[in-house]
Formats: sequence, C-alpha cells, structure tokens
Amino acid sequence: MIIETICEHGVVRLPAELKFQHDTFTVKVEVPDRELSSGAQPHTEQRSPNDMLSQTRSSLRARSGPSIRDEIDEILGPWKHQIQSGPLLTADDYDRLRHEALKEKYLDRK
Amino acid sequence: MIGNKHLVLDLSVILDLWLKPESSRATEEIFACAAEHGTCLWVSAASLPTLEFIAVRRFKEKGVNADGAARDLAKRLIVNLLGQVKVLSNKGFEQADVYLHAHEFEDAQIAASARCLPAGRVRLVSTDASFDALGELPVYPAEQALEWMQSTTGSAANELNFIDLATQQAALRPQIERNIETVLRHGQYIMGPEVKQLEEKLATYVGVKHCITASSGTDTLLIAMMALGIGRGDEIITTPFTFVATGEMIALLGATPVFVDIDPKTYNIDPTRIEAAITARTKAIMPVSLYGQCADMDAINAIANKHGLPVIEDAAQSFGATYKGKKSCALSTIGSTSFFPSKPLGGYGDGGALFTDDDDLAKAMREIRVHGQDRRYHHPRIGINGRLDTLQAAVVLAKMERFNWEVEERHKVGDGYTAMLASRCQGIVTPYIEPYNTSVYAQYSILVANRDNVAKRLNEKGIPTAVHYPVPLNQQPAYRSVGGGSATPISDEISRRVMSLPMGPDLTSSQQQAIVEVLNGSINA
Repeated sequence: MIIETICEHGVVRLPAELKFQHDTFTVKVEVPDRELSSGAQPHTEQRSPNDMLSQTRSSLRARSGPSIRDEIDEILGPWKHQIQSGPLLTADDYDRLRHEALKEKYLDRK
Repeated sequence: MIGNKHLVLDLSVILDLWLKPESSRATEEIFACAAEHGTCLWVSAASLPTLEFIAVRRFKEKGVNADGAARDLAKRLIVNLLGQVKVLSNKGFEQADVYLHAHEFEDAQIAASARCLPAGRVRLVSTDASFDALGELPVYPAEQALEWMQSTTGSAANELNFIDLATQQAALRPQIERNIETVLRHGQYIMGPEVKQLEEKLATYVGVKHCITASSGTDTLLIAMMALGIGRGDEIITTPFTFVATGEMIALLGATPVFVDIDPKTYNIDPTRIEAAITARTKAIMPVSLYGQCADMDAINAIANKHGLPVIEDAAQSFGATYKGKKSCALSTIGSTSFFPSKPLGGYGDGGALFTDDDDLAKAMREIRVHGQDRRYHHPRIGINGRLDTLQAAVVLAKMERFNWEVEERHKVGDGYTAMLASRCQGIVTPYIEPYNTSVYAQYSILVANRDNVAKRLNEKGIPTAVHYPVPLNQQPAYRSVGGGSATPISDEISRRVMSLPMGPDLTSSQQQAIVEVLNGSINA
C-alpha cells in the first residue's frame, strides 16, 4: 500500500484511520532529493557485514561509553519493546524456537 | 589485574542478552568488565548458526516480518557480538571423537572448540546446568562467571611458566589460525607470499632497506659471515658471555672467535677492550645484545670504522629494543635476529632474519640463503639451505600484530621487577639499562649469591628459573682449542651468579609480586 503523508521536523505520521496488525513494523519512505540539505548523508541499512564489523570494532576501541546493552538497544531500535515484551522466555521456549526455525528451514522449504 | 582468564559464552546467555534483558545483568557486567579484569570472551563458531536461527524465529514471532527485517536484526546483533568476542574454531579432525563422547552434540562442539585455550583458565558460561562440556570445563551461570573473573583465584605462583606462550597464543589464536590456514590453502610452503610480506614488515619496523629471513637465528649468523667472506684463519671479535651459536658459527667457518670480556654493568661486550684484540687477521666484530639490551654500538662502530671492519649485531634477544632511539638490528653493517619461540618476537619453530642497508650484502645473503643461487640452478657462490618456512613466516606475521603492545608490556614488567626488587630484596643485583637504551627484557636476569640454593627454593615454590649462561664460551670444552684461553674474569664471575626469572609481556603484577616475595624469602633463608 502506498500512501502520501507529511514529514514534519523529521517525523512521519501515518493517517490515523489506518489500523495495523502490530505496534511496530518497518516502512519504506521515499524522501525527495530537493528536501535534503547539502552535505546530508542519508543513512542506509544496506551496509556490508564488514562495514558493520569495522564500525563495531572502532566503537570498541574508542570505548568508554556505550555498554553492550546500549548497543543492543540501538540495533533493536523501534522493535525493542515489541521483541522484549511478554512473558519471560524459558528454556522450553528456546527449544521450541529452535525446532520451529529448523522446521521452517528444512521441512517447510518450498 | 589477575588476567589470563577465558570465558566461553554459550548461546543461551547471548540469547538472553538479546531477548531477556531483565535476566542478563550479570552477562552485561561480564562484557563491561572483561578487559578491566584481563578476561577474554569467546563464542564457539558452532553457536553462530543456531543463534541466528533462534533469534530470527523469535523476531518473526514478535511480528518483525517485513522484507527480511528479522534476519537483518539478527545479522546486526551477531556482527555486533563478533566485534566484542573472539570466535573459537571447530576442528574437523575431532568431530567423530566428540560425537561419540557427547551426550549433547551441540554442547560438546562448544566445549571441544575451547580445547585450544589454556587449561584451568577457562569457564563455560551457560544458563543450562546440565550443559555437556565433555567433563573438560567447569560450567558456570553468568553470576558465578562474573565472580570468578573478578576473583584473584588463579594468580598463584604455582601456575607460572618461565615464559607464558599459552596466553599469547590465546590472544592471537584467530590471527594465527587465519594465517596458517591461508598457507595451507595456497600451498606455497617454500618462499610463499608470507615470507616477502614478513620481510617488508620487518624492514619497515626496524627502519632498514633490506630484510632477509632465514631458517634460524643461528643460520643468520652463518649467512652474514659467509656474505662478508669470512673463512679459515680469520678472527672475529665477540663476547664469551652468550649462547653458543655466536661462537659456533664462527668456528664452523674455520675462523677463530676472539673472546673479549664484558662490561660489568650491562654484561655486553666491553668496547674499551676491543681494540687491543684486533690483529691483522680480524675480519669482523660481533657484539651480542644480551638479554634484550644493545651493546654500546656507537663505540663499537667507531672502532670498526677506524680499522675498516664490518660489525654484525647478534640481536637474537633484542628485536624491538632501541639504542639512542634507533631500533636494534639497524645499528651496524648487519643485524641478525632470531624467531626462536621464546624470543621477544618468536615463531612456532626455528627462524631468524638479517637486516642491512647494504645492497650488495643483501644480494649476497639472499643468494647464500638459497644454496648460493641467483636464479634457478645457477649458483655463483656456495650457500646453504637457510630459508624461513612459509608457515613460520605466517606465524611471525600474526605475532607482529601484538608486538608493539608486547614491547610496551615488557618495559613495564621489567621496570616493575626492578622497582619491586629494589624495595623488598637485599643482596640482589638487578639489570642495569643504559639511559640511552630500551631493553625488551628477553630475559630478566639478576645476580644472586648461592644461586643454586636460591633457584632450588624458588623451584620448590613453583617458580621456574633459568641460567643464561652458566659457562662462558671460552671455558666450554669445544672452544678451548679454537678461541679459549683468553682471560675473561668478569664473564666468569657473572656466569657464576646470574639467574633469570619468569618474564614475558603477559606476566601480571600480582604474579611478579608473588615471585618477588618468594625470592626475598629464598635469599634470606
């Protein structure tokens, strides 16, 4: 579904009348080039694993600040609360997730 | 800092870290404190695919579905993890054995991958109390692991090695495995690309034009002298207070080692005694940079220049040391070093390197190293089989990645010993380092009275010692007839009293304190 809306001070709000299945999910936004100020570096999630690893190691070298928790929170971003909400995971949950993942990978493969 | 401990993180604690923050405070603390407490964190390669499977599945279950978003999140978390831990390899050759002995194969894979880490200094961190560690590793929950890494347990002197290569290997394990695996894959075992790469790196490090690697720090001396045309009837001035290779290669060429006594403070050749030993047959001067400290090279070079003699620095023990701001091996006509495993820059076998700014000498040494050939099957000079194996070059290259840090640590450990001994032990002579020198303390050697008794007491308390060297070369049976006979009373005296203590970049201050305490008791017993 493609919709048009307003970006105000960097915040994009979707029309209130739309109802969604989840509280948090990813959307793609097309930003007109003319709206970018000169020198702006658009952030891209399409970095190579090597770039990401280098960045992590650089941040570690300079480390005095971010804890492992800060870094995980930053990666999880808007998904954090959704992923970590609900009842505590148990060892049985991990077993179930493992079995479901393997089933999906090998038995449900089309 | 206690240090030298290793925690292998099971995937259960990592998944908790990602998915259950409220129950992973201790794991967060482990990450925060690892460096501070000298603890290395590891994850087995066997854990990584499962980590991804479970994380992706959980993310999808929680509604992260769009366009590979779940996989992207997992990828970013794993990449972040890999930036903070080292990865243990799983070895194909032991899989059948591991499988046969495992109750839980996946657990056992993780435990087996930790076999390369120093025994006794490793704990496996898991939320699973029944984790199958093959009976080889203690399994701790994160809280207990945190307590263990913060404790002083494991620092006792009875765990001491004279030189702790295991800690260094653990620190460099991924790089060493990578470099060895690269050689196994390309298969150029003789004069492979790693040899050239190492020579370039070493020449840059030392600050000379040419580096020629060779099969040992003994062969380098032989090659250097062959390149200088030294042979029967020639005389080489050197020190008697050294490892036998120095005199051995002179004698092997039919030349005569002329032993000149040492400086009583540095134990290196005494330049003021050299000129009196020069004759018409003298062809070179070969000082040894003993224990990691260079001899007075300006004084030696001045005498050599006056008499038109080349100088070969036997820098087997001093790679990384400096003399008046210049690196050892860059101080004379030729510098020669060793990669024997216990040396400051050591491989996993024999190896060595030669250094010179002289183009002609460099060409000659390169040819001599490979049977005297300048091109295949063409031999303008007599040579030897003296090449450095590609595998050794690969190992030394990996060691170079930590070398600057190790040199700094050697300074701290050496200076630390001297300060502790000065304040707590009477009757000990500590190493004297000239103000214009930095030593890499290949050995930390002190002078004591009643050496045998002191060593015995230290050994009984689990502290290894060594003597470098108990008999000067001119007193050795094989050398009495070739270069013996000269009186070297200072060498004689030092060789009776000298004793080396455990030394290395990974020696912790608490280990040093334990050594000094026992030494103090041994001296005064």
